[in-house]
Amino acid sequence: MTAPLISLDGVSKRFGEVVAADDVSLTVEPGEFLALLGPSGCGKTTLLRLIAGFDRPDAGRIVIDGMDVTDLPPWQRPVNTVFQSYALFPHLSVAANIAFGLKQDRLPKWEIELRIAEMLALVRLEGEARRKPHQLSGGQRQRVALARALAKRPKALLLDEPLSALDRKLREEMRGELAALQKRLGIAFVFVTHDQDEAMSLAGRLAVMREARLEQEGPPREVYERPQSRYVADFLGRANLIHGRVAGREGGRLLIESVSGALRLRAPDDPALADGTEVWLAVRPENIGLDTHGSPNTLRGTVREAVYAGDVSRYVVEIAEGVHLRLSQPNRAGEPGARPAAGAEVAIAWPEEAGAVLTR
Amino acid sequence: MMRRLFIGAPLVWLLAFFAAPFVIVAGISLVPALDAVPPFASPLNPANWTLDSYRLLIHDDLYVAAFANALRIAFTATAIALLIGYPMAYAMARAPERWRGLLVMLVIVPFWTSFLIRVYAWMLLLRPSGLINSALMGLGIVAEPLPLDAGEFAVHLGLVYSYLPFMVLPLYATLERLDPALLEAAHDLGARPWNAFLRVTLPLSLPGIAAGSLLVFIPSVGEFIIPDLLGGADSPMIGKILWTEFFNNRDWPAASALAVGLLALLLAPILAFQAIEKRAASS
Repeated sequence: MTAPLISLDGVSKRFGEVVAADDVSLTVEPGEFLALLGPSGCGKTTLLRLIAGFDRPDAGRIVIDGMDVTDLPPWQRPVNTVFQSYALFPHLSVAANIAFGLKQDRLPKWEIELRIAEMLALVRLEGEARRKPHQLSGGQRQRVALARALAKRPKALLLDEPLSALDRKLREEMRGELAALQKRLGIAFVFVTHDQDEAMSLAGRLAVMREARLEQEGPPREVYERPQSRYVADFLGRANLIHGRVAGREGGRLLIESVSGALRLRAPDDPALADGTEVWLAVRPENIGLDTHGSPNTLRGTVREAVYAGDVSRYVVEIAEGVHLRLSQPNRAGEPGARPAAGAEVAIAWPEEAGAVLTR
Repeated sequence: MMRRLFIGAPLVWLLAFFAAPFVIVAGISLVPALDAVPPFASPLNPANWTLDSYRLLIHDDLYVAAFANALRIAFTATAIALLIGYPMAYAMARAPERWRGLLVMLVIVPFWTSFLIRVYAWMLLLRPSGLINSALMGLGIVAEPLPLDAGEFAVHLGLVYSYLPFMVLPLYATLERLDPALLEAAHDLGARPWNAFLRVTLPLSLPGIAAGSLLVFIPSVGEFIIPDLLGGADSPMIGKILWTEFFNNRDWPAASALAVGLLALLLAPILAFQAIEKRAASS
């Protein structure tokens, strides 16, 4: 394995009373697409600003491409940023915006011209070189911001919620473009977002943040399917959390008894968990079915809510006094299936391996 | 009805206090002076019209020199006010937000005392027996009092002191609006602080520079009180000459021609400013 491109080692940052980064260690591999994901105020933007050099950490080291940049100003770091507001220079044309960083590097004029042309082609804005930012649409501005940051051929591109200012349709279009761009250029993208869909569909790896700390990192599928905490389980998608205790083992499966004692459920074994440990069993709504197929995790309950939502139908089923589970069923044309209404008695089930056992 | 009133009110104001007096002054400038009351021939009779006063304006070195002096002194005062005011406005714009209101207040605070009194105060401070000279001599730094008053130094000082707020406030307004992300973007793209200032902050604050400079330059050119109280006989400014023509020489036509000339002279920078504003508005 090669050395990481960017590594944050025990990085902390406070702003007055507010802790924005609390002992965060994180690496970015060359050429990877990493998404920093979390709700607003979790410190994800601070992390990006620390990498870019706009803020200096109170503790910890930051290394980029083998160089300790902890005390270096932004203009000496081999990374470039796409700002949330784009921060295009309003007095400069598109071409001059792209040329800005190249002029700072005192590149020869012919090379600057060449790179401007290359970047304009890359973001498909060849005809707009002489326009001013205010004459462009939101999507075009976004692309100029990308071109300006990429013109310097940075080791990594830092993107701070770059799609949040665009309307929904454009946002989805730009997602595809970003992903394609990153693949083509092969440079590392560090992408800050609060939008889990965006993070999961773009990133090769997620880093979920919570209250200035790194909560969990890994490939999107792993983080989604194997969350390590209730926080991650509930932040990424939706999750049913059943509070209980480890009640023993049976047939290579963990037995979990709900707090009330009314439910006994089976889940993948985790040897680290001793009997009696307090746990939460997380099950995603789409993994719970109305057809039981003889699964051992079969429960009977009463439908309390039934909502038809187009692509899926959503139900809330009360399986024990005060214990509600959410489930969603895909609505496929030509498949009648069971569509129970509120008040109906139903059996629900999920495969044992679909449950994640969490201790925090 | 209400709408007409709203649109009409500024128009009435402009007509009553600018257009009408200007027409009167322009009329007086076109007739010969008389030793009578009023001291000029009737401008209502076209037979009286003459450009003699304007000829005098161009041919008499005194007037030309006074115009030149006024322009030169106003220009230097504006430049000095810009050099002092820009860093002040910049520091204010970058101060923590909760301090900014207070800082703006401090810039405005001198207006709470009459302009005339503040200029008098400078006169007292600067004269040979004034506070500054007494202090310098008391400390043994100079043996003789410095000739601070009654000269161009004092006029410059008075102009810069009096009009500095008019430089600082528009500059502050422009700089405060500047998105800090723009500077970060410049740094991110490799610009050191000085380069980022030259290529981003400075060009984007041009409208503020233009507005502030005009607000200092225009009243400085025609300023009467400051050169009258603080200036010497060495380089009279146009405002002083105008006063002399009106009240000492009672040559109203010549004074009126001076006033019209001054206005024409000031129109140039105003038009230049509008051009800059227009360019800034389109970007």
